[in-house]
Amino acid sequence: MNDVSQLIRYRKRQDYYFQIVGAACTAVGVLTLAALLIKLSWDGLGQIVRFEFFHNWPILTDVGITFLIALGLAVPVAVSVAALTTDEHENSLLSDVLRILARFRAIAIGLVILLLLAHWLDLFGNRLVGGIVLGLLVTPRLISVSRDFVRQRPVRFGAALSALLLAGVVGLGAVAWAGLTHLLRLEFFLSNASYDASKAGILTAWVGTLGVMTVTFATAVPLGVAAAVYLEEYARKNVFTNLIEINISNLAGVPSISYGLMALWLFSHLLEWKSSIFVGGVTLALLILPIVIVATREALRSIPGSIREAAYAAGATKWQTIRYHLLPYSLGGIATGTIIAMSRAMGETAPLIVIGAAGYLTNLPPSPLQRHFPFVSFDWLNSPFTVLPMQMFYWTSEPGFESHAAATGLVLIVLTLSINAAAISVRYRVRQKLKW
Amino acid sequence: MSSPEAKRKYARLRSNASATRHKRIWRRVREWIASSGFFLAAASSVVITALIVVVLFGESWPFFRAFGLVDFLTDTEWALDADPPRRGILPLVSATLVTTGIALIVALPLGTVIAIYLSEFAPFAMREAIKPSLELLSAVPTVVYGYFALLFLSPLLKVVFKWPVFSWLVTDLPQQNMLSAGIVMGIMIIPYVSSLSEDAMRSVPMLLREGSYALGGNKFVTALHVVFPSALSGIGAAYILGISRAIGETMIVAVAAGRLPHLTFNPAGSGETITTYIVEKTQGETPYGTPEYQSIFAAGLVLFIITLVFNIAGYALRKRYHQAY
Repeated sequence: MNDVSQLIRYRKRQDYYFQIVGAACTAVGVLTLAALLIKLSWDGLGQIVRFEFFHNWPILTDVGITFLIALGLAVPVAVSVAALTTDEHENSLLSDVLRILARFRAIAIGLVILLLLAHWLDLFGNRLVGGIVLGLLVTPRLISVSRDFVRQRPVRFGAALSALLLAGVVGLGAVAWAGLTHLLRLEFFLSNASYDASKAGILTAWVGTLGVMTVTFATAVPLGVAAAVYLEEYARKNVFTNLIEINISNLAGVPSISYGLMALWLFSHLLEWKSSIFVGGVTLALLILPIVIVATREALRSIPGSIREAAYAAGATKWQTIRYHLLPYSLGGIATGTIIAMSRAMGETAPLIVIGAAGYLTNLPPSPLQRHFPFVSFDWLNSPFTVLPMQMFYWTSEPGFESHAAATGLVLIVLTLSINAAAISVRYRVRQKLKW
Repeated sequence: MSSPEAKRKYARLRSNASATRHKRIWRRVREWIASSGFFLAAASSVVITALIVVVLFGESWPFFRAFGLVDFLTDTEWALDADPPRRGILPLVSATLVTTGIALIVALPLGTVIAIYLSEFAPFAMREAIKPSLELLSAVPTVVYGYFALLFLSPLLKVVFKWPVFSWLVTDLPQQNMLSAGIVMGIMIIPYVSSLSEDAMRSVPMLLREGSYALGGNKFVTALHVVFPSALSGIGAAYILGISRAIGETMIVAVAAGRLPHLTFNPAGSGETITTYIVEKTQGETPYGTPEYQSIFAAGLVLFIITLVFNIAGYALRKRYHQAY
């Protein structure tokens, strides 16, 4: 009896200790990520952020004035509109317009970005305009918030609460407005690479990343989705499809640098093209092709066969079934896989080094929009390029540019992590929506 | 059929029939275009592989023919500019082995423990929160890891190796060393190991666990003696994926492991891996047809063959694990 209870106690302790070990191991992973972020911020934040901001109190009065202007505009408008459009106006045109306006957060964010650019160009960099714009931006959203309060609580209490809330939101907005324009060193994002450490920026790098990603997306997604559709919907079990199957799983494990070697030979030796945005984009597209294929296949496989049978029964051909049923239903899964694949492509450096991407580049590719007749031009596809990770690699081995490298890394990591977060949220939403 | 009315009727019928026939033909053509387009897309993946293989073999063939395969595989020095030039791949392979080995020493135990912990011990909400955040580890661009290894871990290790016990082990740590590169690489591949192993363990049927609990096993014993062996082929596939990732990893070692090819198994030294060599040679101008140019492809071929072996083994294991339940 004693033995058994001892054994039980021993077993319990065993579980307990393993839990600690497991949690510690998990913590190692998570903490490394944190250490990485801290190290990058420590080294590189100085390039992105103006720390003098915090010593420069007069700038903070800008924040205050912007805040007051925005508040003076938004609060009376919002509260009066909320009070006027009570329940009996529920279906009026005004409330419809307000509801639509309040929903378009994306438009508001876009406007803010545009305004930041305008501010940087000094088109109207004064507090009055900032305040008015901010007030206009937040008003519709605030109206809906305050209406909710008005509807749910006794009117006076609701009005007071909503006014407080408005003040808070507008205050945050004002801080963000002034902060973004004064705190961020926008010139880091808007100047070219340079041998002068105080002037060097990542403009060419992020423009290059944008261009390369566009090409990669336009190549990898159609090709990958089509291949997956063939494998899931058309392929019969035979030696050849089995070969393709093994091959794709193998391709996913081929080192990325091998793709670079293949592209080096194919493009620069066989076709005699110089290293350009197009070549870089296609190389990365080949690299992420297996990821897109696997994700699309998973998405197609999760569609029940009854959907296909229903389409066939209604007289649809195979192509129509795919076009009007299978692809729309698998869009969420395809989007998730593609987003993850694009984030991988964005961080990829090795194959681009091999095909000869520049580490140091001082001029932008030609603009895709032209003043003269066809108005669009594809010359940018054929111009030399650099990308963010390439720029970071170059700067890492350059003495005196460590902070630039860290800042580039910070930009890169924030980009990839937010893209991944977007993928996770898309996956979550799709999973919630799916009800077969 | 002789009356004009009948003739007209017949003509109208025929034209209708031809319209539907056109439709039907167009439909068939469209189906054919779609299916062949899809087929071409699927076949393109085979073309890519074939191209990789052909390019690697074709470009390194003259290199082997001129300098001999035996030398390539057995010579212990890699110096193309020396007189006479030495062309042994072993120094590059040794550095690849050392960095991969360190990465595996870090990643396999950590990854396995994390997988067991997440699949058997952690509460649901915690697992759902931790798994994606661990997967972020593999989403970080590798050049960022390189920076981290060179400018954070390497200085940190230098400090650590000044402490009593550690200073007996390592006396002098260069700025670029395989140890820090390998450790960071190990952290990078943790999610590959843990995520796939966890999936494999989760797919072990509950019945087996319940059997073990009924016999008086606790969670730890169940995990170690029931779940782990049952999921072994899936876990093996995860390990192999991690290994092939580590071997093919480029940017971390190119930044942090050093650029001097010499045959060494000292983890605290610097060494040039196969991938670093390719990066180094392609960063500068290497004209087509020179031994340097061909040597890049020879190195790439060695890398490709090593990873191919692991990939195929991993594929076979995955197949088995899918069939198991």
